[in-house]
Amino acid sequence: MARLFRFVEKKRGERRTGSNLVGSFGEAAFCGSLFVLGTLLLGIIVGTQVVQPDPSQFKFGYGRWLIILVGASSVVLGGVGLIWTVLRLGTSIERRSAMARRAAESDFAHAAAPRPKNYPTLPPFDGLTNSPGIELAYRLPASQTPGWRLLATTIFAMLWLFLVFLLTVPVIRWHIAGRHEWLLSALLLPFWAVCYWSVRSFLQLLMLNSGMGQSTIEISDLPLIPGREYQAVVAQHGHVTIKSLEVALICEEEATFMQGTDIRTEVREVYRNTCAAWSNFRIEPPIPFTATCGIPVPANIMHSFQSPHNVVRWRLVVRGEPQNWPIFERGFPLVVYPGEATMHVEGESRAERSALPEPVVVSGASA
Amino acid sequence: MTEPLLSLCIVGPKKCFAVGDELICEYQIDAVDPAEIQAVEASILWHTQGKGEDDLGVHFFERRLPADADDGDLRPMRRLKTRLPNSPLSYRGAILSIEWCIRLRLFLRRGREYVVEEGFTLGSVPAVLPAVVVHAQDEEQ
Amino acid sequence: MASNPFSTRFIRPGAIPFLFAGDDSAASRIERLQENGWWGQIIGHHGSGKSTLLAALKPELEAAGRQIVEIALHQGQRRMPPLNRRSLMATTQLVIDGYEQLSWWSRWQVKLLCRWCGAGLLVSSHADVGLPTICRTEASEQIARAIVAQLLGDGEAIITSSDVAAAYEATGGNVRETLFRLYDVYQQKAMQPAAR
Repeated sequence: MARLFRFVEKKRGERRTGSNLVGSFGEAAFCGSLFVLGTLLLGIIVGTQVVQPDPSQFKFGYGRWLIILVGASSVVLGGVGLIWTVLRLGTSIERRSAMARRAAESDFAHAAAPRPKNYPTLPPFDGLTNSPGIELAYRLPASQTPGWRLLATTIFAMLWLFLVFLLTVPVIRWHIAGRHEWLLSALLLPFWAVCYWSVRSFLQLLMLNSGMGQSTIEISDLPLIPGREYQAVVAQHGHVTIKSLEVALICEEEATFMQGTDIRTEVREVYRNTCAAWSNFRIEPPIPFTATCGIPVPANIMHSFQSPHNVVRWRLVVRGEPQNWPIFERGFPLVVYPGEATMHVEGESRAERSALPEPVVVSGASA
Repeated sequence: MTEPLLSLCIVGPKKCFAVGDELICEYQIDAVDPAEIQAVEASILWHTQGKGEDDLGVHFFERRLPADADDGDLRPMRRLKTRLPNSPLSYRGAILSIEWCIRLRLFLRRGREYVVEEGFTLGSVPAVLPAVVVHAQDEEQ
Repeated sequence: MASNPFSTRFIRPGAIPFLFAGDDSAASRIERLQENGWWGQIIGHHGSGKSTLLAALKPELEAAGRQIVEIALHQGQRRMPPLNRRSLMATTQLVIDGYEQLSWWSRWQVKLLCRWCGAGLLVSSHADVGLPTICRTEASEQIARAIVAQLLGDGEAIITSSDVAAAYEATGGNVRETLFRLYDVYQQKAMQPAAR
């Protein structure tokens, strides 16, 4: 039982009695079944009482309200449980705890992270340094949560399933009553096709997000200064055989154009350096694959930059090619400060510098 | 009616500056009646250029009205000084560039406006050499 | 190094003059708009020059005594931003770029408001939205070449005719995307000698 359903697993020190993959499936199956049962019950009520009600055939009396209550509760509990399971996929216990704490103590006054005082055009990095690492100074947050796609698929599958059941139950009832609505039955086929596709997509994504597991990176210091080398610890969780895994430092430019009715954003990679690569190994839960590597930052590079429509963005990217799974790529944002080499002019000696005044205004409007 | 003549220059031989360097510039206005001048704005700013919308950030700004001048005449040469900040550095990228400049804007009566700019470089970030770009449509073909 | 002539500041609507065909002109389009009670639509595909034409018509509208209230709708913007109804009168010309983005309800409200106030309505759209057609913008390789020639000016031979043709074909006849593609081509050609 502990293996199948995560909420009955036990924690023994750093180990858990259950499997994350199987536990996720078990939870999803339980919540999904609850949702389907509730949908079916509501579908029967709608089909017999709302759509061409025939009181003489189906008379529920007060029991009708009990069935509606049970059905609606199952739909809500099963749906919320399924969404919660999906949201928790790939998150560590520390992150879940941080998410819960953040939700509980939302500080609206400081909702916008202040930028570094002396570098107003650099993106803020408070969000990068508020998560301490275990082995190194900081644990980097992922730049995108792969779970949003899974969440969207889950919600779509649930809603479509609900709709299809509501439509199918009355049709079945008519067939049973001898009134064969063949045209209506035929029209339901594409609905069932979409239902099959959406549930299949949901299950595939669920497997992918459960089986692959999260990637984490810890780094020795932030922000990054050009000309220095930093240490990083990479951890890859999951239950797969990995053909290749690499960590690369990349720089991208992003430019957004908003003229006419077009909003056009273009992203261009301008720098890539593969810092480390590993191949042909297996990851068995609960122990993740862990490795340390150096992250050299070249001396003569452009620093991070952020303005309303233009961005120079640095990040570490973990790219993996697992066996029998699609290739995945996960980004971790970084902030790179201006380096000594680029702050000077070539051929000139360093002059003494007094304290620099703060820049006056940063505006997004064209002059 | 003759167009006003705006002169703007950076004092000294160099156009490339390091972070923390002092930038000195001078401007002067000619060929216009001083009574016609409503205001003069001088700014030292950075702006982006490329495939995105233009953004800008002002490091130094000065607006002068006739009342600010000794005899109400804003035309004589004026010198500006500022220490350059540590970011953003001048940058020539693949799809965006960051450029620094001094901008002089003259406001005359009846809504007339004249602008002149003088560019300079802050820092020494090497330009990005654009690789051969393969667009998504090319790949589909 | 000089700016890339295909930067957005040089190619945005209003920065490039609209190229009218033959004897056509902004004045003749305004005349047609006036004949239709200052109501009209400009129809054309993405990147065919609708916004550029609107920018070209604005000075003529002002010269004709119209007070322009301009609204540019972006992708997904289904509702109108708040309008100061007191600012709409018989001499007002409401110009909406991207009219097809609006929901049918918002369109109905806009039309009702303009009729009530007696204001003019000029819109740009990808498809017919039921107003009198003032102009249909169409992209062509010839127009793309003419725009490129204007942007490059005299003496700039970095972009060749074959570059323009290749970019135009690759973007399926979208002039704006053609110009964005030529940005990269110009950047490569202009930078390579400096690297060597």
